[in-house]
Amino acid sequence: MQAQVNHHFTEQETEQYYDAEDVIYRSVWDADGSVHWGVFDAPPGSNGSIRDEFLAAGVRLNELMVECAGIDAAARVLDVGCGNGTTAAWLCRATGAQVTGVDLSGVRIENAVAALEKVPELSERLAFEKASAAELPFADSSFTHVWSQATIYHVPEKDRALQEAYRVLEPGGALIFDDLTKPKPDISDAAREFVYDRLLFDTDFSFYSYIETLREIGFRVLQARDLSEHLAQSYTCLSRLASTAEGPDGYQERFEYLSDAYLKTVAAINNEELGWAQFLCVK
Amino acid sequence: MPNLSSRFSERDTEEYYDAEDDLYRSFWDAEGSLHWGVFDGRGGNAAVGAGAVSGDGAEVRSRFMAACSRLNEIMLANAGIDGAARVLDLGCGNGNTATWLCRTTGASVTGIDLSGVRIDNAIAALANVPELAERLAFEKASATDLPFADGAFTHIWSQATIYHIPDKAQTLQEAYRVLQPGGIMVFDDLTKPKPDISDEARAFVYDRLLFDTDYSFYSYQDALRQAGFRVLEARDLSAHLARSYGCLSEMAASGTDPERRERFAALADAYRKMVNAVRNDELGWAQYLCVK
Repeated sequence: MQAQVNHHFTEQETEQYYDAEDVIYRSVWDADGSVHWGVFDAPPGSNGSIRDEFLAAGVRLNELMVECAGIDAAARVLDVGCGNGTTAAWLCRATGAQVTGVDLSGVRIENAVAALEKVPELSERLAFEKASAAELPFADSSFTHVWSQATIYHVPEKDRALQEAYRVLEPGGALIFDDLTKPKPDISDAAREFVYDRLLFDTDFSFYSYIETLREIGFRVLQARDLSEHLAQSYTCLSRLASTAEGPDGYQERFEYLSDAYLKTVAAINNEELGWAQFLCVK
Repeated sequence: MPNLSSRFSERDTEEYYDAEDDLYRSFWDAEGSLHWGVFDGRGGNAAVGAGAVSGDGAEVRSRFMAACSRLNEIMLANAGIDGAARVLDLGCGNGNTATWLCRTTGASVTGIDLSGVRIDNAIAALANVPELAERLAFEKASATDLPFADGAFTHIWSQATIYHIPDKAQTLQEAYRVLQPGGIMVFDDLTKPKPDISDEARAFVYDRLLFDTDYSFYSYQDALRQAGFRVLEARDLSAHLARSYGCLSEMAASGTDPERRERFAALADAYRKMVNAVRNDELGWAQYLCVK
């Protein structure tokens, strides 16, 4: 099911998309419901099964982000765009931090809240709430860290989401996140259809202009990484996973569509029509 | 210590490093490596106000040396240097890091430095590592006029060097020229976070290190792009520079050679002023990874 959207989409559309697509994605990406890209230490296919390599690359990204943000048991972390809450639960367990996850999708927040029952040992330190990144229901300076993965590209008002992250951070607090970027302003029709519209995505940010915007909001940028090559490797893996995915009747066509769309995503990255970046900044 | 204005020449830099080697070995690192480190621990809240490492002299030294090793390992992992690489180390000093790179990765490594004394040291040390003789070479040369053909290297590696060079844009162009297409440059350098600096920072930081730059952490990225590079990674390591100089201040203060007591005391004081300059945004430290 591909939502029909023009280049300017709304939060309502993003919400519906993520409410509907969860089952499809679990069968291709990760049975636990994590939907993310990874950082590879070798080209996919060199160390074993594609799925294992892809999942290991996702874990590697998480570990890199924890290390560079310095999240520990004293941290109070907000996960913006937490999805099914898998990463928030991992963060809570791995670091001992207090973690609050917000997401626009009510279905995913319900999944995250339901999964809390399986981890009673984390219940004091882990919470989820349906909320918009552009209007966070938290007081100023509530968190020591804001964490976000593959979320802000969906938000129509990206400046506002970054301002909100700044507002809810305490002075000296760190924003650690990754996001999609647009390396060059003009993109092809194929990239528009199979990447931008499919992901309900548009952005004015290149890797470089993103840094400018973060500074304008008041952040000091401590680290900027262009991960585009790893995004291409991630989608190469995902295309192969989608082409071999198994699901209920009627899903096969959808898997074929995704496998093809993922290959076109790799082409878009190679053409500099799509990029991926990770930033660490402090308030 | 040479007395000079904030405008210095390559000749000044050469004389400085020719003369000071023995002093620095006596407290910084007996092996003759001179570098800063990346410390373990919180990168977020503590990143800006990271304090000095506390403990006795030996503990401070061991944590400092571990931090220097961590920088090397981070740069190595980022650059993806392996046995097939041909690496140029710009500003190799006594050649310790070039030797480590050669041994650790199996790469072919060429080190250049403006200081003839340090290149002589590096070449003399080659006799201790005959197993690397085929893959490790040193040469006295200026980073602004590299004696190598276009596209000669797969990687350029540089640590704490470019800040010394009056014509930084020319250096970046030369690095770009000698890299093959798709080649990687990984380096760290000092930066000037704000354009106006105090007299104290001028005297104890900029003039002492024969250093000046127009580059902030951000404008450095523009300069790299103008030279033709694509920036893949930029890290502001200023907090780690402050911690490094906190360590070095304690290490210099605990130097025992009686004939050098005054020099050690002066260095310990100068290093404390370095820490202050970093905290005042008068001095920064950055690491970049970029591709041709």
